[in-house]
Amino acid sequence: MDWKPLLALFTLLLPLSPGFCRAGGQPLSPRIASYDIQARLDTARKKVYAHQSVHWKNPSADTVRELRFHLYYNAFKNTGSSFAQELGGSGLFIDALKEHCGWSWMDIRSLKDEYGNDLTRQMGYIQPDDDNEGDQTVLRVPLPRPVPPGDSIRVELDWVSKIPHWAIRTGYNLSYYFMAQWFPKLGVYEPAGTRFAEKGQWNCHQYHANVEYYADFGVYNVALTVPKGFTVGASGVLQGKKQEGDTQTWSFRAEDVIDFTWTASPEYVEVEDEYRGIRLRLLFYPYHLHLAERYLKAIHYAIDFCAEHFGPYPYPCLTIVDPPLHGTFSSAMEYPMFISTAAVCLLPEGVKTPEILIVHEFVHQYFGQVVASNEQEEAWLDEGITNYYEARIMDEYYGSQTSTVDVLGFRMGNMESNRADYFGLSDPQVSEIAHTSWLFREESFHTITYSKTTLLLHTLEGLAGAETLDEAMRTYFERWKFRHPGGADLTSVVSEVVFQKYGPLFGENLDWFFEQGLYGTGMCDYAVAAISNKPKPASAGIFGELDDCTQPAQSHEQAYRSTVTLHRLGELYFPLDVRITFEGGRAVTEQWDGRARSKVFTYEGPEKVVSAEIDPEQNIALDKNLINNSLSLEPERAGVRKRMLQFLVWMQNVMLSLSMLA
Amino acid sequence: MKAFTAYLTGWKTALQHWRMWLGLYLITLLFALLAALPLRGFLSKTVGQSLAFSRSFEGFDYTFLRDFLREYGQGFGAIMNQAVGYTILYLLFSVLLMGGILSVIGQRERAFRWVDFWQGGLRFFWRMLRLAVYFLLLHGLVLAFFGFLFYRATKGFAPFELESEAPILRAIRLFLPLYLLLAILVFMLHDYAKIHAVQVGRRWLFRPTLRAIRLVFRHFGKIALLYLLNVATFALLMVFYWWLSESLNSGAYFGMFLLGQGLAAGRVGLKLVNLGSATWLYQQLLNVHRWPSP
Repeated sequence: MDWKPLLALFTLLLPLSPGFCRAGGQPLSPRIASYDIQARLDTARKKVYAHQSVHWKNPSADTVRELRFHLYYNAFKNTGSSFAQELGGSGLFIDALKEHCGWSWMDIRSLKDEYGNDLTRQMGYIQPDDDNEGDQTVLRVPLPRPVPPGDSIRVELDWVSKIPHWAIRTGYNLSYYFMAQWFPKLGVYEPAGTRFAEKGQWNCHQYHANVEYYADFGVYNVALTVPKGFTVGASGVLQGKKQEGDTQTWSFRAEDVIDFTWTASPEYVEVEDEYRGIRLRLLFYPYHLHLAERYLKAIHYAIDFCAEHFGPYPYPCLTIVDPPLHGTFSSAMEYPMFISTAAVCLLPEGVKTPEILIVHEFVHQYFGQVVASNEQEEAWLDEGITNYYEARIMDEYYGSQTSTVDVLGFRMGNMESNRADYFGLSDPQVSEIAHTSWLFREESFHTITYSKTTLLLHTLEGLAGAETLDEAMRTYFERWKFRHPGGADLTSVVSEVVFQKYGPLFGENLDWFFEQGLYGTGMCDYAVAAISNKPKPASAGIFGELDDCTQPAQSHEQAYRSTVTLHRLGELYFPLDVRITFEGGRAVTEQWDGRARSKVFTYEGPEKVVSAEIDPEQNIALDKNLINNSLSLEPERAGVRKRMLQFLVWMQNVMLSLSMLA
Repeated sequence: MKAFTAYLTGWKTALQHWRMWLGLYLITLLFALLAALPLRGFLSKTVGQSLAFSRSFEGFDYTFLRDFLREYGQGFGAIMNQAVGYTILYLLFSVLLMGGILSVIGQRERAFRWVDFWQGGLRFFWRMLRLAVYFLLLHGLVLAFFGFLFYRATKGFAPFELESEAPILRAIRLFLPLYLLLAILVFMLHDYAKIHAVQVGRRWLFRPTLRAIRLVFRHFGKIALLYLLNVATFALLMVFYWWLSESLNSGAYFGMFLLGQGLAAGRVGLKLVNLGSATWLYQQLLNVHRWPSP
């Protein structure tokens, strides 16, 4: 029997099977905003022509009288947009748009509701964030027939957009297209009580340079018509491909997601894999193909870690895009079931950038995509948690001192690099973590949001233990998946789990911890200020009968009164351990609540204190100087000599090399 | 075969002038010691009593390094600046030494005397210095030329304008070896220009330099082969050093220091071998058997 036709039929039907795309399964999310989009990519004009149908369900108890859409592409229309102004109206991306006249726009040609009302005339741009009238990234559409509580509405749009010539995160360059934030997308209507909302309101910010998006869950059916020969990768599951003349239409379906992003290029080569039931599709330019193994290894690690710590990945597939060099503008991005990374072809094995990005963007599938916090307002909530787990995963699988760089003897771990980033800021106190993200104007946004949050969570891990923190994150994930939590929701879950585990050891809740770390800008620095060993003075005075001045018998053994003085030099305080080591190697560990500016531990006995160390396990990752955390009475003379001699030899070689010019 | 004979003569010259070899090595050690000594006190005062410092010897410790540079970077920066100062001073001193070396090794039959060495150094100092500046400029020009070619080949080194990394890689593969060859040629020319300047003993350098260049190109095969032998010996020394340092326990810091001194002394020796062999070859090619007496 010839099995080939049957096999071919099976292969064709496989993508349509319920098991493959979970079509028809129980919805995972409330599916508030769903989209059907038919889009045609015109590579000659660099435009997209589309028809879009949006189905929106009113999740609140309010009657909603208007819709609000994000028109992200208008951020790159001119230098008057808030996005461009936040970039200072210049810089690499803006200059490139200017140079190539690569400005983009999005024009809604027709907008009708399901009752046939033409909404085009009523619609208008608003600027809810900054009143910048030059910004056209939010469109307000009044509805002639409001949407009652729990009811829904369908609107139909015809629109055209001009694709930017490599803007930030999206655009085209040569034959490479990366289409993020590419369609008119509804904001989030937050019912009263959601996050900061005291009453029902649209949360639809303008497009800002630092941060990207916040959206409701829904189902996306997207048909993308591209020139024949192009390979398309997208959020969601490929439903089929249809060829018509010189074009090919790729159909995708993504369920329970907050966004839909795609890429197209005639140069892509594909690598496919399946791991833990997830279909992985890697899209490369040919000269990066040798990196596939590194990517697959990293994504397997990330999938394993997340599945074991938070729960199984809830989607059926994942597309990983490795942009070409000229597509670097789209690197390191995360969208539902779709992530991008970055690499160059001769990257040494010891430089782990591709692995770091793969891991980071995959963790975002959990924190950012499924737990859909508001990145525009609280970027730390997805980026910070993701960055922390990126460091955990990288350090666990690639070594805590080699997980970022391990080249020619230079080694740097991921957590180490976060610490270096944060404390390397010219002013690490410039802003608190919980600062409204789009209002960050300082260049420190990235470091504060990513690295400081990572150190804060690492400190929490040090205090409460990795298991407890993981349990808290698992609870947070379970409780808030397919919903929109705020920062307070995370902190209350963490407090709850830590209290369950330790009782009142850390207080009734962890507000003291988060107040300092999230909402404060203080620094943490503990130091061992001094060690002193003085002979214990002989006892003198009246100890027995009031008239008896006989001195008590003195021991012949020399005794010492030793003191160890500790200082809290920074503003932050955390409970910590102090290890005191005595002559002969005996060591004791003391607990200190870390609050007082100064603390003295006193010991009496035959052994002198030889060294003291605050936080010997280095649980307090936020401590800015680990060198002054310890003090030894005996200086490390051999070490000093070693470094001096190393420097001497190094200087000799530098001098001899330079003398070649003489 | 002249190149091989020159190479062997270079070794003979270096060994024959072992006192000069030793002296030059000690001068290098002295300068490096002046630069490195302040570090000892600085480390003792700042981090010497920290347990983190003791632990930093277990391997490369990025966290310690960053904390050290952040917290004590200012003091360390001052030491580094001082070290840069000593390096520049050493460079100038090397110019002086060069005149001494060349005037001594050209007089092969004469026994080594420090007085001849210093006299030669002082006599040729300005000439050697000018030559060093000219050839430094020449090195700069070569670098700028290849930098320009690389820049053009990679469309202004603009990644967003390139289809792939291929043009960058192609440019590196093509231009880097060419640049290295040309830079080596400039070093070679510099050596012979110095030898020629000492031999003719004239104040003006333009014509002697041109003559040296002409000599190099006329006898390019022999001269290049000799240079290649010297470069190969240097590479061998580096490989040997690397191999020994890998097999040595990094905790044995005094052993590492001695090995480092072996390397430094080796490098000084190879410099003498290079100059000695080039001088011999030069004398053979021009049929000059010794420098005019100072």
